[in-house]
Amino acid sequence: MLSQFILEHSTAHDDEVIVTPHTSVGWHQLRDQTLLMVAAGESLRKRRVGLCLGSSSQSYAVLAALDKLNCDSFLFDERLAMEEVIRLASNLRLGAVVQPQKRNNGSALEIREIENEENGSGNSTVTILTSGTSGQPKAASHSWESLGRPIRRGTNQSAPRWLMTYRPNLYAGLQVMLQCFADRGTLACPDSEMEPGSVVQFMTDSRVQYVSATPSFWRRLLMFANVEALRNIPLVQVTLGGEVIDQPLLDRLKKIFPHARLVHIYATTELGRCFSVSDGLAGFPISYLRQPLADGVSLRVQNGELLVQSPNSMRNYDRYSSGQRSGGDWFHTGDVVEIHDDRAYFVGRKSDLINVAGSKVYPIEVERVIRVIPGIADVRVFGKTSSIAGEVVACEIVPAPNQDPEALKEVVIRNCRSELSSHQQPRMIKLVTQLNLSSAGKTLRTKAL
Amino acid sequence: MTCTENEGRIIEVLLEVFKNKNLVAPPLAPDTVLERLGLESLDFAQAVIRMEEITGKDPFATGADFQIRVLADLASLYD
Repeated sequence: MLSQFILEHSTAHDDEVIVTPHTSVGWHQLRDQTLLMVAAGESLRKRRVGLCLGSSSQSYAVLAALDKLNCDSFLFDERLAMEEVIRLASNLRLGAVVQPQKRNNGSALEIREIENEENGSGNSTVTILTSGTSGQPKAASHSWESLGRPIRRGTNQSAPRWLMTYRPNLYAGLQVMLQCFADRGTLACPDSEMEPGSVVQFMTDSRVQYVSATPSFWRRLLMFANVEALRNIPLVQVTLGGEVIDQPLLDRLKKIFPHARLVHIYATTELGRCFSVSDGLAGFPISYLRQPLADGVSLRVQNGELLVQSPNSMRNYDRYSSGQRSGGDWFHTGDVVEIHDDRAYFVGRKSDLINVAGSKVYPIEVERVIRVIPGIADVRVFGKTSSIAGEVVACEIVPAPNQDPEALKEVVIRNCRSELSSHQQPRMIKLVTQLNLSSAGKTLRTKAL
Repeated sequence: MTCTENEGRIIEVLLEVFKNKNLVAPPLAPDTVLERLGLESLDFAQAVIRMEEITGKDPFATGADFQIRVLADLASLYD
């Protein structure tokens, strides 16, 4: 599919397809790079191949080449150390690991052969490695068809300009890239470690119209970047996903971008895209639970957990993946929802549950109280192991610029005391300058020991 | 009455716990009987976490059974 987008679409003028803060690459150049990678990768045909994927035109050219060569592609974060990539690739019984040649000599493709390889399926597939908490990732295998199924063709204006905020090797990053390429658009890729102010400058310079990002991404931008500069970017659509979306953030974005379509999406690596909500409200209408949605996705709630059947799902976990599917037709998402009136709201992941002396606390219940305090830029609530209570609630708060941190801490304690029960109140509060985000751009939920 | 270093630390930590609860702390001394302070077990959990941050030790993590009656008993676990 990707190779078709790049190779089989002819256009007279050479619009730009990938822009970064340092480079700009046109469609013709991407096509030429892809052809070069196909030639360089002939020995990889129909094999299981690992790819260290960044958001550069060379990286996408390699991915398209592997598609063309009917490889089973396994996507690694390009920032991973090569020894680690080789170790994971060897566990997955891959035949080779590839990346675009960084040196300026010889082949366009750097190929490292790995012993003991399993035979490829012979079809072009894409396997996404989820950020497993146990250190060993799960390997979710998609067909290009299942990845491409949620793509909407021709609904967008021609040549839309998208900001790439996700890691290109993860599900959301692949979706943004495919949607953008399907519409013959331009993908604007900021550097992954950019400061919020530079991101906004880059968005302005590259004239982005579509932004798909996690709530954590937006919160950081809204707090530390110049909101006036943001307001001046004429966004057509703001898409949120990957984490629980709260109403204050939606309201804030609506105010800054009054003309943009505001959408939030529920998708997982395994299930693919499940549904979107565009009425500007957090959660989703319970009507979604009553009958299958337009593209064949069915939802249901069992013991508070959201279960899904989705035609956009992966085919299976790879046979050498650390996790394997269990259970019946319905996929257990691990996401817990609560229903109030006619709306279902996400309250967190089952695994995020904090067990305080037998009482259950979801981080989001506590974050909600802290997040609305003026002067709080961001907050993360997590379980801290306690020798007395099993776990207690702990939190990290990021003060907004020019705040007195100690005074802010007192307000947090006071508000939590008045609005939360004793077991929900944070028993450890840390002031930090920023929260650590996962490679998927989400707030880390790791428990503290 | 003079305090040991760890008794002083426990007193400071407990004063903070009372302050967080918006309660006026009673006078605290090494011979203060802990169960009469009116604190709940989560408050003690909080104090133990705070003490661990200060001393690097968590005597309760060993699972041993301690006889703690007065503040000095608790403080001595950190000596």
